[in-house]
Amino acid sequence: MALALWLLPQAAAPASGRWVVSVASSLEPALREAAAVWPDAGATGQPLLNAAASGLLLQQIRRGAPADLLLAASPLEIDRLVDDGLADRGSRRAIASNRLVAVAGCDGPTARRLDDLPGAAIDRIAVANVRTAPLGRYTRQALEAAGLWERLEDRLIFAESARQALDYVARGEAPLGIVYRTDARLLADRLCVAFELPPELHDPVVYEGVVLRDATRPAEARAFLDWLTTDGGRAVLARHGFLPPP
Amino acid sequence: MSRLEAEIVVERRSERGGEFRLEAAIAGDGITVVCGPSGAGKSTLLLALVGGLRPRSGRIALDGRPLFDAGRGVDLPTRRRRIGMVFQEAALFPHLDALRNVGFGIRGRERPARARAWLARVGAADLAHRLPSELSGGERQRIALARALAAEPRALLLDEPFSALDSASRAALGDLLVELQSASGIPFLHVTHDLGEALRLGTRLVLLERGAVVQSGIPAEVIARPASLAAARAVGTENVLSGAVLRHSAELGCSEVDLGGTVVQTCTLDLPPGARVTLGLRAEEVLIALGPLGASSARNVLEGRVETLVEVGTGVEARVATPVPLRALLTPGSVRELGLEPGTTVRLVIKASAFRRLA
Amino acid sequence: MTVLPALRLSLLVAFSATLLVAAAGGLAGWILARRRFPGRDVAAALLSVPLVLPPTVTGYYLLVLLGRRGWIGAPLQSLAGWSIPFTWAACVVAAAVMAFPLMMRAARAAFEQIDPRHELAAASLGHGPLSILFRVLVPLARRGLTVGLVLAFARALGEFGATLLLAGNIPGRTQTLPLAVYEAVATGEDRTALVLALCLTLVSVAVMLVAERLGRSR
Repeated sequence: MALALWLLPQAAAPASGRWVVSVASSLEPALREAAAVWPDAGATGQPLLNAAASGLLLQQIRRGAPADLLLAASPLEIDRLVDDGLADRGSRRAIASNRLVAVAGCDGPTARRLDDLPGAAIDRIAVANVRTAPLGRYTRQALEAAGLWERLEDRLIFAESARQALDYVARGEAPLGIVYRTDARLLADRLCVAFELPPELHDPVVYEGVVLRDATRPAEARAFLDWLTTDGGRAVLARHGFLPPP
Repeated sequence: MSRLEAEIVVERRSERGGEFRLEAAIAGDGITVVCGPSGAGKSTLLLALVGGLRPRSGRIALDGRPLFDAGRGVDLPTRRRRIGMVFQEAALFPHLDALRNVGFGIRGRERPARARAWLARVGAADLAHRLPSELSGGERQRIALARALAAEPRALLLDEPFSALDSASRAALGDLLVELQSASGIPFLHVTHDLGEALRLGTRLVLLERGAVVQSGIPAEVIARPASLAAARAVGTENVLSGAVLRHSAELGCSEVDLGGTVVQTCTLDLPPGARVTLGLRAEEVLIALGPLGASSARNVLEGRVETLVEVGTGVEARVATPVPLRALLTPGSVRELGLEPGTTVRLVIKASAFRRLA
Repeated sequence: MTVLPALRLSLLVAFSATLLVAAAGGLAGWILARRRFPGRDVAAALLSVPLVLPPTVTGYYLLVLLGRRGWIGAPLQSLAGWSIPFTWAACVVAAAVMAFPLMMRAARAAFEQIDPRHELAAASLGHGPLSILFRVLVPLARRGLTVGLVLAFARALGEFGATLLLAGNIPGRTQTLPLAVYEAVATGEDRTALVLALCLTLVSVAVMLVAERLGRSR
């Protein structure tokens, strides 16, 4: 399995001079558009995107997966890389922030607030894997802060990423899921936002990026990351529902 | 008394193709032997009777009870037919000892006791706890007989059960078989390609050739008077002759046998004078000569008249009345050279050793 | 500590799945071996599909079938209130589906080896098909069936892809040893990963030893 973890980006290793961005899965659709419209794509062209839960991406990089830029859904992963000397401290930037929402099928059982959850006819709640996805961490923080974690623990089903949690709700496996607000937009035709989780219950969801020490194209990576913090980049991110970084 | 009747048409699965037609009524007053060359359909017949093969049409009934009736859609599965079977190499269950094998078809509380009784009946009481792999061929067949009969079938089929055994075992088991049949009173159908067995064991003989019954009747008669060329082929020997021993001559090293009008000399037979004997003589061992013969080593020179000349394959079979009819096989060339025709008087020249004792 | 719960769950799942598969696979192998029937080859091929499909694809099909909107899952949910995904039963289902073709094929081969006269003899002695199966065919096919069982157990123990999709990766509830290894690596816990991997290896070796012993003494 470790093999599978870092073989993937290996396969994407630029033979033709393309470079790799490892991106948190919740950020991927926005990044795809950003990479396409980035005006300075120039000679090297667009980067290849490698999307997964941020924790997984961290482990891949630690094990030597070739990537030039990491965009994670929390500062924690970036901290670890910087502390291990695997990333260029100076290139670190915050690019966006997000909120947690609860989504449900539009005509199924639902709830209005977090406190409603224990009583509701919601027998399963899809959340992201607490140990590998920042979304999972944030969810746990929020539930613990609201004093609901222990009561709801048995009903939680853990998805490997935000996208998978969303899929579980869309499929009807869980009536309710806790995902990023940006994710909820993806299946807006099938799922409805039940409520937004009060942001003070969890650490702020801040997306940060950093250029990696073993990048093959550090200059392009840095340029792209910086562009994401400009108006041009922010506009793209905003179009996908992301909020500016605090 | 039990009766097994069958009139069926079966698709033949072997390369020879075509159909297999059988009409037979087998009574329980003795052993019916089914004989024929390989490929004649003997195993096909047994499989159809026991329910391992479905005939295309026809009827099989046991004691009047239909086991199979194509017209009425009756096809009893094997387990309901109450027909037992003994195979060529016993086919005992290798993972069960003799006692358990025999008990396999017995129901009820006294199963071990009844199984033991059957083992004793076939003379295998001391083999009760041996596995089939530890038994000789003859011992295995005894167990197989016990196993089949212990289930109290209403008919028993035997598919060349003795062909893999040595002649001493064959004889002993043959006697056992006759004894078991008369004690049980159920029809026994015994398939073999060995004519000697047919004569020794059978009260009736059914000849099969190429998927059809060519003759049936009392074994000695069927063999002695094959009604057709096909029957004769099935029988395998063209001349099968019944007679009585007249006397022996130590100085000549011969015995004289009266075939009912014709006396022949054969190699010394170990039989008392007056005993009945069945001899086989192959047509190709009979020479034909015209006119008197000079001295020769042949003990038999018989005068007779040609009755018929029939083409058989690449040769010609001449039937000569001596007065007992004997067949000789000749080449067409010889027939021409000798100018043979029905009515021609000829001499048959036969060595004493050409007569083989069949029974 | 993730090791003990994962070990317990894995053993429970592997044994349960093997039991299921022993019956289902043995029966299927028997039916396929008995006689020709129209569509036999197609049936055999379809039943062997989990052997050749990537486990995640099989897991996907199972999720679609057994999920709350699935053809089987929906009636199950509305009639009995049960839902299989994300429960330990899902682990068993995933493992059993993946292991089934191994047992089926081994059973079929083992039954086909048996001299057909034994079946005929047993029938002529008055036994019906099931009695013949258990009293004659299974004992005679012992060796092949044992091989099939061992293969099935090993496959069930190591099942990952379909399990991940159908049962999820819920620690204490559906996190089997292989899933636990995956997560330990994914979170950088190398020591735990090593312990888990050794656990799996030990159990697998033990199973193979038992198989050798069984294969020999019979």
